[in-house]
Amino acid sequence: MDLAILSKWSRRWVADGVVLAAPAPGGEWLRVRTQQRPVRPFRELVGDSPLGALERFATAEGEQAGFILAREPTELRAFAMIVGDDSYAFVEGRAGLARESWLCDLVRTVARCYPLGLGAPRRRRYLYQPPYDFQGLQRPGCVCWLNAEFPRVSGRITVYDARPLKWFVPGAVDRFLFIDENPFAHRDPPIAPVYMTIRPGLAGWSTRVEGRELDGTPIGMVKTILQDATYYYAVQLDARIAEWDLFAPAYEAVLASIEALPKVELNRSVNALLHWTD
Amino acid sequence: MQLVIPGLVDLPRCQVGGVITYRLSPRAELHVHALVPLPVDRASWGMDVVLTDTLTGSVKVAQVFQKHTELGWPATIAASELVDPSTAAVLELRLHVLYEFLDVGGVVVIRATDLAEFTAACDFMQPLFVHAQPDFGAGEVPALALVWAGL
Repeated sequence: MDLAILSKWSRRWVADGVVLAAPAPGGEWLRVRTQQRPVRPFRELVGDSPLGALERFATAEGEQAGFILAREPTELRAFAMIVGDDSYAFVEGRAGLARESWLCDLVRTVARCYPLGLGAPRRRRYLYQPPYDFQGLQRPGCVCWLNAEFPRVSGRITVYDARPLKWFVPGAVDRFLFIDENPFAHRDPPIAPVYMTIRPGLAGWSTRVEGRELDGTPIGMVKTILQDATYYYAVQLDARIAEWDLFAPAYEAVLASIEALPKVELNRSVNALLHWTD
Repeated sequence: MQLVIPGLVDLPRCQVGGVITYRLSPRAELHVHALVPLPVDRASWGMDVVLTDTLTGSVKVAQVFQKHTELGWPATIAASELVDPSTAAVLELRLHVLYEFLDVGGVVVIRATDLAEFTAACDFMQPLFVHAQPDFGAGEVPALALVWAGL
């Protein structure tokens, strides 16, 4: 897809983005909504028309994106969602029924190359399967997953956003302020860390600590820090020792589901997408 | 983020902004506020909610006590009256329940202009208050995987 065709389309600014319309009377148009908040399920954004299969991919900036095609009786609508940190961009294209391949290619290409401009590397959310029947409380730079009977039952799993490995001084301060903690009034002697490999290129150490709360209740905390070439991924389980076995399987399932962040392709030649003939 | 109280489904309701109002009887209402981030000073938050939640009159706090929900979330219950400062007449009877769910707080208020209806409303709500729970998921999706769920 040569995105340079868009430079010949008319552009109208709207409150949250732009609407581009093709010059020919074919009725094709493209709408781009920028910085939409809050981040919502893609399903809620694409209407009730019969939908094709979801395609998930990473953009050139390494952001998560999804694409789907809706077939309506008289036209096709293609949707793409590009998810940033706390907002998303939404691309919608419309065309006649005969132009399916062209429309899909256009919307997919715009999404794949979409300029969210959030920069990299940075603190970022990544894909993992949330623990079943837990609810997530969003906190700065992490999500705290509470079991359905919390706080009567103690287990909670904290998934920290991925942090760049080469973040040096700010990275160290970030760990002191937001990641490392000591919930113990009394701390037992250390237990040797365990090395684990989730999949090739994603491995790290699990460190378990046990101790007691102020009231004497035995509690435990395990923190796993995985690494790929660019980021580290910290996940933590906190629970009373008496309830530990209820939550250890959910914690291990979260760890096993972690997908390392996609690579950024900012150095790829723009000539693959655009032909600068004009 | 919403505060969820089971058992209110069948009551007439309306929502303005983050507040859902349920009509309990002709002169008694229940207000359920959206969850809000809690300040560090929880006590002053509670005082602010109870004392400034009025357009007219002055607030006389009758009783404050602590409870826990069935799941163990802390709750502060404050009974108060809204009084006309010039005549000392009671304009409104109120019962605030302030929940603390880790970093966020929820507020539920019973308001009535009639003592019998206020008492009936409190009796009706008392067993329901203990089942209150936070719904942190209402609003922003907390995990990327949930963005793509259902497709």
